[in-house]
Amino acid sequence: MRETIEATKGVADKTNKLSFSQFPGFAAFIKENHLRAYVDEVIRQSRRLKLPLLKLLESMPEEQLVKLSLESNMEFFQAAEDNKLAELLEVSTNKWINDQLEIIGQNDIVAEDITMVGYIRKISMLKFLPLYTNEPVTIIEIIKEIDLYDMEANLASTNTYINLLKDKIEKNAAELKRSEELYRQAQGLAHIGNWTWTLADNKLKWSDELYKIYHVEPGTEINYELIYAFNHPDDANRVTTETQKSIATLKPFDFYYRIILKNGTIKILHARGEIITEGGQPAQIHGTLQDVTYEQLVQEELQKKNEFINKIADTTPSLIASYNVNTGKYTFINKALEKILGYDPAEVIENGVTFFSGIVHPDDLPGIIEKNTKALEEANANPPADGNEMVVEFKYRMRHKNGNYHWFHTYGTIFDRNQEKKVEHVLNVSIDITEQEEAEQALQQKNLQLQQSNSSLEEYAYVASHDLKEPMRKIATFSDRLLRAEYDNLSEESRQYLEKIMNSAKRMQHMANELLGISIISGNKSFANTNLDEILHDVIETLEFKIQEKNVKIEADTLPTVKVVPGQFRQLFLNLLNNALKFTANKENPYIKIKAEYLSPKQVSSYHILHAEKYLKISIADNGIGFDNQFSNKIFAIFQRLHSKSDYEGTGIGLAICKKIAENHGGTISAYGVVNQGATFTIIIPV
Amino acid sequence: MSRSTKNLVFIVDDDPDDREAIRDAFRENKHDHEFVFMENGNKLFDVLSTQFSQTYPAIILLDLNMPGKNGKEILKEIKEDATLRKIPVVIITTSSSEKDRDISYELGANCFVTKPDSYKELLHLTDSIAKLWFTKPAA
Repeated sequence: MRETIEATKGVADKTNKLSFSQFPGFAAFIKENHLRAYVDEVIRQSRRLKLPLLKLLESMPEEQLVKLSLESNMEFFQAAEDNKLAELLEVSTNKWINDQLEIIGQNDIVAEDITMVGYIRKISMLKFLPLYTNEPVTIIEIIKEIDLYDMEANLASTNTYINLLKDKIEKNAAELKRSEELYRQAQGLAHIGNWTWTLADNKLKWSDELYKIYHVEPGTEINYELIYAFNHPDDANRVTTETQKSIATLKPFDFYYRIILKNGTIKILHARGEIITEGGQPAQIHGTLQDVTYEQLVQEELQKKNEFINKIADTTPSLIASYNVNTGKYTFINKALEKILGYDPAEVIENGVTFFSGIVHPDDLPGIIEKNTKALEEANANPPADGNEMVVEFKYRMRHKNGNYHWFHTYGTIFDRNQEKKVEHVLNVSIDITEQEEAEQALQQKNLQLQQSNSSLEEYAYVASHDLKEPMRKIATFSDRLLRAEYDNLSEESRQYLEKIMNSAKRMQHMANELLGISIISGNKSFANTNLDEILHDVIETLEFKIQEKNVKIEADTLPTVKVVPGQFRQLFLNLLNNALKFTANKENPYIKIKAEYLSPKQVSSYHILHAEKYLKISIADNGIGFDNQFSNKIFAIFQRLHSKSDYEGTGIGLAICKKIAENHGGTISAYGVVNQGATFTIIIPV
Repeated sequence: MSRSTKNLVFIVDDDPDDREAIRDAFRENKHDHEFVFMENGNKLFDVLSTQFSQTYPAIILLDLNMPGKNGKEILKEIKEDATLRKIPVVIITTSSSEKDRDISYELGANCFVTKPDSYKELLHLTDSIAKLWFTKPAA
C-alpha cells in the first residue's frame, strides 16, 4: 500500500529525534513501580475528558480494559526505556494503516483521539514525575522529551489520519465519478438530459446529454434566448405559454415540442419540469428533456398503419368481424355492415353473436351452425403446428334491415387462441355475392332454357323430318303409279315431268332421313372404350370397292383406343373418307392420309372444346380438288354445298353430321383446303 | 291353321292411302287373296278375339305409328298369345330407325321393312311377301 511506504519514510530521522536521555529512566520507573496506578489514571482521565475512542472500549468489562491498557502501556514504557519509541510508533501506525489494531477498527479513530491520547498520556505521566525526581533540570528535560515524543506521535498519527482520509476521499471521489458516469450514460441511453434554469440571472445549466440533443458544443453557455431559437416555429409559442403558465401557477409542466437543429433536422422533445420556489417566489426551474423523435416516429408510423388498416376495413365492401367464441361477443365489426346490411355496428357489438343468428335465413342457419361447430371442434382438436389456421367457407343468406335477403360468401379463420391453444377469437370476412348469385341463377335458368330449347329443337327436327317423309313417299309412290298406269297416254314431256317429281321427292326423303340422323346424334351418349383403329379399318373395308375403283392410296397411323360413341365414329370416318374419295376421283395418284396424335391443353386453343388433360387429334387429308379456304367454316353447315349437284352427288349433310358427332364428343372439327391441291379435315376431341 | 284357297291379309295402318297402295300392289302381282283393312289395333283384336280359326289371317301387315295402341304393343300382344303367335307379322313402317327395327324383331316380328319410296319397290316387296307366306292357290 502507498500509505505504508509513506509512513516508513523518515524512520531514521525519527529514531534520532526520539533518542532520549532522561525519559527512558522515568519510563522504567513508572513501568517498575506505578504501572497499574498509571493505567488507572489514564482510564480516569480518558473518562473525564470523554475520549471518543473510549466509547468503543466501554462495552468491555473493566477488568479486560485494565488488562488491555496494562499490556499496551507496558509495551510503551518498555520501548521508552529501551529508547525504541520511534520503532514502536512506526509499528503502531503501520498497524493502524493496515487495519491490524486490536479491537479498534481503522476508521474508529477520529481526529480528537489523536490529540487527546497524547494529552492524557502526558498529564498521567506528569502525575508520577514528582515521585521520580525533584531535580528541576531533569524534570524540564523529561517534560521536553515527553512533549517531543508527543509531537512526533501526534504528527505520525495525524499524517496517518490524513492519509486514511485522503484514501477515503479518493475512494469516494472515484465512486462519485462512477455514479456520474452511470448517470450520464443513462441520460445518453434514454436521450434524456436535465437542466436547471435560474430565473434571476436567466442562466441555464445543461447536462451533457442536452448538448448532444441540441448538437451544441459542450460547455457553451446556455440561456433561454439561445435555446428558444431552436424551437420549431409552429411550436415556439406553445413552449413559451406552457412555461409561463407553469411559472405563474407554480405547477409542473409536461409537454412535447419540436426543435430544428442547425443542420435542419427536426427533433421531437418531451419536456417536463417543476418550479423551485424561494420564499414563495419562483426562483429556478428544474426539468428534463427527452429526445423522443424515434419513439414519436414509431408511434406516428403505428398510427398511420392503424389508420391504413382501419381505412381498409371501413372502405372494403366486405363484412369483417371478429368474435370471441367463448363469450359470443363481437370484438370488431367494420362499417361495411351499415353499408351492406343497414345495421349499426355498435348495436351489433352490444347484442353479440345472437344478432347474426337472428338475421341469417332460417333455411341456411342449421347448416352454418353445424359446419361452424364442426370446424371449431376440429380447430380445437388439432392446433396447427405452423400457425397456419384453416379457412372455412360458408355460403348463406342474411336479411338486410329493409327485409331483403343478401347472399354472402364467408371466409372464417381462427384469429387467436388462449394459453391452452383453444380457439379464443374467430375472424370472419364476408363478401356480398348477391349479384353473382343472382347472375349465376339467371345463367343456370338460361342454361336450362337453352337445354330445353335445344332438346325441343332436336325433337322438332326429328318430328319434322319424320313427318316430312310421309308425304314425300306418297308423292313418289303416286307419281310412280301415275307414270306406270298412264304411261301410254302421257306425252314424253309429261313423263319427264313425272320423273322429275319422283326424283325430287326421293331426294327430299333422303334429306329428311339424314336430318333425322343428325337430330339423334347429340342424344346418344353411349360412350364406350372403342378401338378407333378397328373402326377405321372396317370403314376402309366397306369402301374397298370404291377405293380400288378409283385407285386411291390410303396411309393411316395406328389409331388409339378411346372412349367414344362407336357408331358415331364409324359414321364420322365413313363420311370423311367418302368425302375424300368423292373429291379425289379425277386426280392422278390420289391418296388419303390419316394421322393421329395427342395434344396437351396448351396446344388446343379453341373455346369450343371441353376442358381435358389430353386431347386426340385425327386428321384426314387428301390431294383432291380441295376448296377455297374462305369457305372452311361454311362447309359444315347443313345442306351447304360447294360444288354443283351435277358434278358431285350428295345431300350436303355428311359434314354437318361429322360436326355434330365431334360436338357430341365435346370436340371440334375443322377443314383446311387449297383449290386443286386437296383438303384436310381435323377432328380434336378430349380424351 | 285353315288353308283356304283365298289368303286372308290383314293390313293394319291408319293411313288409307298406304293401305290401298299395299293392296293394289298385291293385286297387281296377281296374287289371290282377300284383304281386310284395319285402321287401329282395337279393330284387329276385335276380329282375332272371335277365335274362329277361319278368321285367322295368312299374314298381318302392321304399321308402327298409329293412334291408340301402337304397332309394337299390338305386336307384343300377338306374339305373347300362344295361338296368335303363329300368325306371321310383317312390320311395314315409315320409320327406318335402328331402334324400332331391333325392338320389333325382339318382340317377334317376322320381318321389318321400311315403306318403299317408290311404287315399283312396293311391287317387289309385296311379291316377296306373297311368295314367302302365302299358300299357292290350288293349281
